Amino acid sequence: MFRTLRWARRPALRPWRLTRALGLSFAAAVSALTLLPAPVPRAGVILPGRVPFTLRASEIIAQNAVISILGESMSFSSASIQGMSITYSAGGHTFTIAVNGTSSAGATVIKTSLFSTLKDDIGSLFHVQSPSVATVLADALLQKPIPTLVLTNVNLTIDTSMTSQSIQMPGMSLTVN
Amino acid sequence: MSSQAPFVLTADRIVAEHARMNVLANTLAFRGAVIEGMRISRSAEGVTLRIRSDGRVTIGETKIQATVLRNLASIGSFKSKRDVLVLLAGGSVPKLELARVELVIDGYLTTSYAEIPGMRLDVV
Repeated sequence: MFRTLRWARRPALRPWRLTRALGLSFAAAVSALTLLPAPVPRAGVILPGRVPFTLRASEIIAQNAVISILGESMSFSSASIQGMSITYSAGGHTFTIAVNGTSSAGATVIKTSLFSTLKDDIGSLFHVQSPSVATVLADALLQKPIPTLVLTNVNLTIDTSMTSQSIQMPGMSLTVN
Repeated sequence: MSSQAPFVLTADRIVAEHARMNVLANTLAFRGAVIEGMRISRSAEGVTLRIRSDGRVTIGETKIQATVLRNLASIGSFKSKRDVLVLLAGGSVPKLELARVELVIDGYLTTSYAEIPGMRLDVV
């Protein structure tokens, strides 16, 4: 009761304080909205109209990896990629780049809308061996670099692009079947 | 066996070492090559997968099978016209230089090694 009275007796906020309070509330609301991903397709669905290609690998060991759920991207300063293949299916045929050996990639950026649904469907994209899945998801929300990221059974649908400063591929073949 | 769904290799310049050709098998092979301005594309259903490099691509022992190799002179500009004759005759060209290459590959391209600087894959 006493508390209520004390609050009731408090003078009303002065105009500039009210403005400031409203401004801070608005900024907080905007920040909260910004932290939430924009409306996205359900897990595992690419953007309409895109014809994606698929990066598969038995193992990727990436250095200084940054996964961004908001930016729908994954980047790393370098990586070794075992059992790599890239496939592109369209027109009833599949174009395949296959590598027989371990590829070495320099600074690389992969952009795909599937990263926006990472938290719902991470297992369908790759298996995280190190660090833990929880750490990867938390770091992906904060875009925090992961010193060494180890992924296995990578099956990543890429609907935007993959760029690499350099890539070395032993035993490479290009075929259409 | 050739595919009816080819992909296209274009390049500003290719310098290949110890190139030789098998006319019956429609294959062109070389020990190694440097490719400048390399672009590989595969189009279907109105969209195109593009692979581009903004540097000098280095490849090792390579074999390309393509029907278009029957008409060797059509794939690009040979620095030496004599090289066309040597290849068609089954000989080996120590240093084969080609410019403005556009090679429709309906078979395959295999290489022992590829180093691709500034690579970008995208679909447009």
